[in-house]
Amino acid sequence: MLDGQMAQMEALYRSHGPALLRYLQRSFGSHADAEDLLQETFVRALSGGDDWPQVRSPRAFLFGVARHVGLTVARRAKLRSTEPLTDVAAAEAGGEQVDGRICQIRAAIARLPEQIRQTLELRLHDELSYEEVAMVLEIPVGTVRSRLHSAMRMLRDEMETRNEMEKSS
Amino acid sequence: MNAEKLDGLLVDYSLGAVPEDVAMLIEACAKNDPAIRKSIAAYRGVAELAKRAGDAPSPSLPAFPRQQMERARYSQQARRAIRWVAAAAACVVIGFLGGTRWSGPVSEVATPVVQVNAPAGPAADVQVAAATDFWSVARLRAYAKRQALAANVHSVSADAWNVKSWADIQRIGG
Repeated sequence: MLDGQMAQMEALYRSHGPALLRYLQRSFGSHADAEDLLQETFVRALSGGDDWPQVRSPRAFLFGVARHVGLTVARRAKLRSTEPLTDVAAAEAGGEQVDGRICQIRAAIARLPEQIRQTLELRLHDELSYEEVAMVLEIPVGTVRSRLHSAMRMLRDEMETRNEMEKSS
Repeated sequence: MNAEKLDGLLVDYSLGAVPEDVAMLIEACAKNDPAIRKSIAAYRGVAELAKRAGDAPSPSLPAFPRQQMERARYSQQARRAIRWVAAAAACVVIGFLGGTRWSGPVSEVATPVVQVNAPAGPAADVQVAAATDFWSVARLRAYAKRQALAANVHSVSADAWNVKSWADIQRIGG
């Protein structure tokens, strides 16, 4: 049974590991930190092995554990990155062709309030459903919905304002 | 439906989070209403851009940390065992303390008053009182009776053997 549990964990690691690593890297620090956090996430998830039969979405469960692990470590080490999406220079150095509008939206997302930004990122970048986002952030689904509505309206308004400014100039 | 609710629904639609039937309704409305079409286009554009903004090259996944996981599993089992033992010990202690605290005062075992008649002859054997009541009246009475038999005391009246206290024993012995 225990070997079965370990095999299950390995399968989850293979399927959700890359997304979790991206999430941890984006939210909590460098690649090396993220790898440590990912490992800690799976160790913690194994410790909570008794709860697995009750887990509806393993992906959301793992994201929730990863978030807790990241927050705990960040609180301890204060390594939390505050502007994960505005590091345009790093993206360019990585060979990514960054066009102007993506730059703008990155800046706009970075200016969103923390909670709203987290919710948006989990939905758009990690492709979690509203219910899964709610599980990860431990908030009601209605709150997820309203945060996403706010985020999209803010971004739309900001992009429209910028477009008008560009047109007028 | 008010404008705000409709706007929220359009956001959900552009994020791909509405059921199939609702999506069909929105599409039907959008065909006849240019404002809805414009809103949907704006939200979809924002969602698409935001998604692209977050796209990052897939990081290389390190090997599955099997060793650490095994270690964690063993320590988890050890912790669980310790918890069980601690819980069992706590139950025993609580039971013991509760038992001594809440049980009533220990009632004295009523010592039956045994009417001992004068033996017919020296051959009669005398039952020794239970070993548990070492200092009980019954035991002392039995002791006194043995002493009396050993001394061939047969002339003691029946009343004299009605021993109920230390004073009675002293009286017989005296």
